[in-house]
Amino acid sequence: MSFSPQIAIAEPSTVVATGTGTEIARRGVSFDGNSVVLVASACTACDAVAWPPAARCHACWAAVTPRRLATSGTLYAFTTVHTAALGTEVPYVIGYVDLPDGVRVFTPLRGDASRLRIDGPVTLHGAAGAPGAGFWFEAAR
Amino acid sequence: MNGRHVAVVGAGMIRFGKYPDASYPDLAQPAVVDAIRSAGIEPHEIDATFCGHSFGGMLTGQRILKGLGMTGEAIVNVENACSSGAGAFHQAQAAIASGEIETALVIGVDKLTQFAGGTLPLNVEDHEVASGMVMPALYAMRAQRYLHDYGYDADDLARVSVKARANGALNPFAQFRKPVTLEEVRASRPIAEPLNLFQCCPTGDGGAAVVLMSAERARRSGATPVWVRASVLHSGRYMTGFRDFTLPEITVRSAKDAYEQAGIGPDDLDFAEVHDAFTIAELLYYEALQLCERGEAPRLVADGVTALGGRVPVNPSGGLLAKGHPIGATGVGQLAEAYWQLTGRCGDRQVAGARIGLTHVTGGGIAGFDHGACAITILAA
Repeated sequence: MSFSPQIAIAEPSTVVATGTGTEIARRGVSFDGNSVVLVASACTACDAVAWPPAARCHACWAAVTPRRLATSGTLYAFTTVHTAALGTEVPYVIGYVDLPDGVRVFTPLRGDASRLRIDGPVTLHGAAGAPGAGFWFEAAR
Repeated sequence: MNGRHVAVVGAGMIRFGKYPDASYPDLAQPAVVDAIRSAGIEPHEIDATFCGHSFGGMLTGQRILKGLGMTGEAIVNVENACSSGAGAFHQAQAAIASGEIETALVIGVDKLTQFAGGTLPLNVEDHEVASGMVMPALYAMRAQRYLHDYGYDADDLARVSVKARANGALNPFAQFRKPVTLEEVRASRPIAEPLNLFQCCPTGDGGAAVVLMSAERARRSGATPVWVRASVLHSGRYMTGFRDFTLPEITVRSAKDAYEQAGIGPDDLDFAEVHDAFTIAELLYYEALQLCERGEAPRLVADGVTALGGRVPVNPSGGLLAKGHPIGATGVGQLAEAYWQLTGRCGDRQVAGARIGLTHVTGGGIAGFDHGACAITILAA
C-alpha cells in the first residue's frame, strides 16, 4: 500500500484578502447598537480559538466558526507608552487581557489609568466609529 | 554538531553609532575588509557570502561587495529581524558543515538613522502593531509582570544599565562610552513604564563581519581558529492563548538545544553576549540560559556575578544597551566580540582566560509570539 496523492488538474486557490492590521482586528469586533462584543474563530475540528478570527484553523487547517467571547476578563500586563512609532500621539495605555475563553487579547486601555491593576478585572467597551479597531478595555467598576 | 567542524577565523566591526550620511556599503565594507585581513586570506578565497539585515532593501550584500571586487560567487541576503545577522551566520556554518563550501563571509549590517525618529518601525499588517504595539511596550509589560511576580523593583532593572554602560566604557566599538549611575538611569525620561530611556538600547547604525572556514581549511590557513560548538536557529511558537511573559520560550528551547549540541552546560560558559535590547531582557535571558534559577536574575547583577571579573560576565562588550543595536548587525557584532574574547584581543574588557562563550539574539515584534526568531551560538577557543 502506498500513499497516493490527489491527482487533479492544478487550479489556483482563492485569495481571501484580510487587509491591514487594523482591518484584521476590526473583523473580530461586532457592534449591536451600543453593545460591543469580540468575535473569535473556533476550529470545528480541534476547537483551537483565535482572536482576531482566522480564515482557517492555524493549528489543523480545518474550517472555523465564529465564537463570541466574554466581555470581561483580567489584565495580564499593561504599560503607558511615552515614545511610540513616528506620528503616533502619546501617551497612550495598552495591555493584554486574558478572557475566560482562553484567549489573550491585545487592547488599548482607557478610563482612569490609576485604577488599572495587574491581574485586576477589566471590561470591554467600544463604539462603531471609534478609532483603530473600535474597542478598548477599562478597569471594571 | 552535525557534519564537518567549522571555525571562525577572522572578525571585523565598525564602532556602532549614528552615521546618517553613510550608505549600507559604507557601514559594512570596513568590517568586511578587517574580517578578511584578520583571517589572513585573499577576498577571492570566499566561496559564499551571507548578509543579514532588516532594513537594507534589495540586494544589500551585492551592493556591499561590488565595491570590494567580491562578486560572482553566491551572495545570500537574510532577513530575520534582530536575528538577521546571526541567522546569516547559522546558514554559513551549515553550508560549510555540509561540505558545500570551504570558506564563508558573514555580514551583519543595518542603518536605523534612516528613519526620522520614534521606535523601531514594525509591520502594520500585524494587528497589535496597528493598535499601538512597539518594542519598548512589549518589554515594559514583561518587566511589569516580572517585577510583580518576583517582588523586585525598578532599581533591579536599572542596575543592568549601569553594568552595561560600565562595560561599554571599556569598548572602543561601543556607541555609548560613558558610564552611568543608578541615579542617572532613574532620572532618564520614561519610554514605556516601567522602562525609561537608559533602560532601552539606542537607535544606531553598524556593520560587522566574520569569516568562517572548514576545519581542514582553517588548519592550512594559519589563522587563529575559534570553533563553532553549537549553532541553533529557531522560530517562536505561535500561540493564541495565555503565555508566561517571564519565560521566553524560544530562548529556553534554543539554549537547551545549543547546550546539547555543544555537549556543555551553562556552568561551562566563561562569558555570554545576550540580547539585552532592554534591561528586563537581560534578566529574563539569565534564567532562560540557565545561568540561575527563575526569579533570581536580579541578584546576579546586584552581586556582580555577571559583571566583568564576575563568575560569568554577561555582555562584556556593553551589550545592546551600550554597544548599540543596529538590528541586523547585532548578531554578527556579538560573534566578532566572542571571537576577540576567545583569542584574547579585548584589551580592558577582556574576560581573563575565556575559553567558551555563548552569543544569543532574538527577533520580535509579531503578535502571538514570544519572539519571531532566536539564534544561539556557542564558540570555543
